Amino acid sequence: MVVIKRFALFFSIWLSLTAADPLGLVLGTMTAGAAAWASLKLLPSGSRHVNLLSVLSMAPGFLLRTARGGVDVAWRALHPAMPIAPGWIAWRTSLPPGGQRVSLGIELSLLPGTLVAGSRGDVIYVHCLDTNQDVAGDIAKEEARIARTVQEARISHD
Amino acid sequence: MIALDVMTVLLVCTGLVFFVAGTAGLLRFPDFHSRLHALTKADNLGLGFIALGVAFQMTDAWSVAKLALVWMLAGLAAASVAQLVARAALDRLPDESGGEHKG
Repeated sequence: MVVIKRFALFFSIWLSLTAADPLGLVLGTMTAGAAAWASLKLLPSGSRHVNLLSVLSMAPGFLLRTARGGVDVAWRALHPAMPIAPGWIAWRTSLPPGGQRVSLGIELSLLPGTLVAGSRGDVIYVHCLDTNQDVAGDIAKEEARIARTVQEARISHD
Repeated sequence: MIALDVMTVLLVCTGLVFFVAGTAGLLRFPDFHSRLHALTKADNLGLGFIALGVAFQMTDAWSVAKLALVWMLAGLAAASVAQLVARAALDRLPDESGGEHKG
């Protein structure tokens, strides 16, 4: 099943790149098959299944946060007074290592004003563009949101 | 056709503003990690606007899909590279108290 999903992903990339030219279909099938094989070797599928619908349902919020993060930093960069007060927050996360922590890292790197720049043990280092804002509160909210999403996913799986 | 061209010009110009802002941040921001903020966030949004603007000039759905693919791959690459660059600067991390940091 995972093989089929990954093959479909790579084959759809091939179709986009070649505009579904019939001349390339045979080569594309072989290439997508080889890519699916290589991807399974390099990144074996974990025990948790990714639900395509739930990923798609996250896309609008993801795009909105990307846009907000971009607008915020662009405004600060172009503003004559450059309203930034960069600094660090060492955040001790309660999320378990693995996917959830990675999600937190990605989310924080997208949100306005925060960027994850490494971790030591349970402590992740968040670089803040403006320490005058309640960044810690934002991180706590984001962490709670991720924990909630994972819990809901578990309940719906059981 | 003119409406499509107007959309393209507006969106591409908006994208350019974000690229200019990203570059301004790279030049003006005082420390290493603040510059990463500018490059990863502003430029990614700028590329999104430009791709969207160019999409209005496309005549078939496959080309639009290709533009979306370009944006997604560029975003993925930018996010991964930003993480790697930030990690490569790990020796510049603050001490455990998380105090002010000099780039």
